[in-house]
Amino acid sequence: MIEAQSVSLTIGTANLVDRVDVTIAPGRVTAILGPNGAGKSSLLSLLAGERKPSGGQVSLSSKPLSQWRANDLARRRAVVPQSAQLAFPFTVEQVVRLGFALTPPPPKQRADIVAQAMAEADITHLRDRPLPTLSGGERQRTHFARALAQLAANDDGQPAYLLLDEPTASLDPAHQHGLLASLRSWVRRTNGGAAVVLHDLTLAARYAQDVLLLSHGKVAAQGAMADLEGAVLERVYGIGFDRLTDSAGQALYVARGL
Amino acid sequence: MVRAAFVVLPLGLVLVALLGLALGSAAIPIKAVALWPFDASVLTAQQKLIMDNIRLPRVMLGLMVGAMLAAAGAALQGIFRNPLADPGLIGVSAGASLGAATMIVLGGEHLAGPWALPLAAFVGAVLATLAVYGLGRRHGMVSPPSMLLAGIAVNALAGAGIGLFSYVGDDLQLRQLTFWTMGSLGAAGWSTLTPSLLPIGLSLAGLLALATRLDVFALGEREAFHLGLDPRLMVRLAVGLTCLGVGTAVAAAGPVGFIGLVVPHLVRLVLGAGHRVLLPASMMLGAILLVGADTAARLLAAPAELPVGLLCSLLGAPFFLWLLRR
Repeated sequence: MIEAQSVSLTIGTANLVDRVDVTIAPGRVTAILGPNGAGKSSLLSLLAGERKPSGGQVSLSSKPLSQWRANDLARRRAVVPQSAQLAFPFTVEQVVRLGFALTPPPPKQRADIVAQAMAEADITHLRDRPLPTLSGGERQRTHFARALAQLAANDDGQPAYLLLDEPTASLDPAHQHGLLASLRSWVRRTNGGAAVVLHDLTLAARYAQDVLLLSHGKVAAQGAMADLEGAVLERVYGIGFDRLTDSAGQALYVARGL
Repeated sequence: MVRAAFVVLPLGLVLVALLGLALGSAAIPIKAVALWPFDASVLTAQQKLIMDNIRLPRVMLGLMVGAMLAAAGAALQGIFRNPLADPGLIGVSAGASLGAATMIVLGGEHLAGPWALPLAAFVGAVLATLAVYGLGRRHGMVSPPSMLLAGIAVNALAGAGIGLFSYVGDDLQLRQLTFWTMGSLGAAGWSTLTPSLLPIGLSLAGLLALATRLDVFALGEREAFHLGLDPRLMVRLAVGLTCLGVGTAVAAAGPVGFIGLVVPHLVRLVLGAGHRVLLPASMMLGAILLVGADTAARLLAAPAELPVGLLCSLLGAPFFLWLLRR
């Protein structure tokens, strides 16, 4: 598992992440929630090993991330960025293949891995299109497929981890659910763990077993979405939420308006 | 498309090399040039002299410098993640020229061994690249506008330095300096070619070996780290190899412009962005264009010759403008 122990990130005088404890466990989806500037992306970058914490530490399989080689780490965790600017006109399929460019699986498996990852992200029909010509949502799905391909290529039996930074931000409703459903099925299938930054509480309630609610870099609440109190949500987000139940009996969170 | 390109480009390379060897103020029949490696007796003694001492080193140097500049352009565009990067625009060539100028004027005769100029040009190229890379970053990310502005400043500074050296230099040094700033293969001989072989060969081979990493790097520094790359090490390696090669190429032929910018652009348009295709194809096309341009430069003003750098800029600049407009 990925374990953050009292991890902090300070840049200048700003405490972006302030003594956060969180565990990304195999077989579970953890949603990271919080208003803009709460430190969600900063926490994710610490979990990814991309930045060094100013305090505390993050470890994967009980070994601090700072002691992992970038290449070994890439076999065990993948990251779906909020938005990645691609400098050159690589095609969708080329980008998905980049997922395992530095950690290549046996040549025979490559085409299957790419095909399956593209199918999961529903981008198979875009495979030959240059990435810069696609819409924001299509690009996001491509990066999701790239991350799936990266981890599928390194299936050595050890649980792998997917970290996603607002992967649903530019997706239409069908693809929001599609992406999170395929994330959950990836978690079940591979016994991997996932941490996903979300703004939509309804999606968090439906697809994440655990939530971590951040406010000003600190943990405001932690646990199952259903146990999150309305008063805490209102205090953190500065707006109240109504918790409704849809026709299928699933929770819906609707902001009340100011 | 890729397969066709890897048939057409080597053929073009052979053709342009044959033409480059055959054409010039004293023309040699192309058939004799083609047969010469197998049967030395097809050439007259005088032709053999021209071939051995003038044409062969010149064409070989042209091939190497052309390949090097194009590969450097492709690699720098990959490192800066910007299709506008080019050894000329971001100041690498200017830095190398300033290094060479420093050596010509201040080095004196005892320092002017065959390795002194390439070494000075290399140091100049490294310093210029580090300055541009350092100044062109904002919050740990390469920022293209700052990078280009830094390149302009480095170019201006290097230009001023070269101007200063031409002001204080004597007549001979002035002539040598003028040669650097225009770019020409005219001084090519075995004495310029031999010391260039190893550094350029190393740089080309090293850049080819980095192709997959450059692909990954195109996604961004963070994303490259997520995929298992140590981005800092990669940037250092690629910048070091590029400076080594460009420094050597500039020391031997002066700052020949636009090949590094235009060639990777063209290749990317036709063959896509993957560096495993882009780098070797750019090397071949760069070599073809430079040797072709050099041959044209010899013929256009025969028996005198145009500096090939001048010709490349004359043709390359309008072509680049056309690329920008489409």
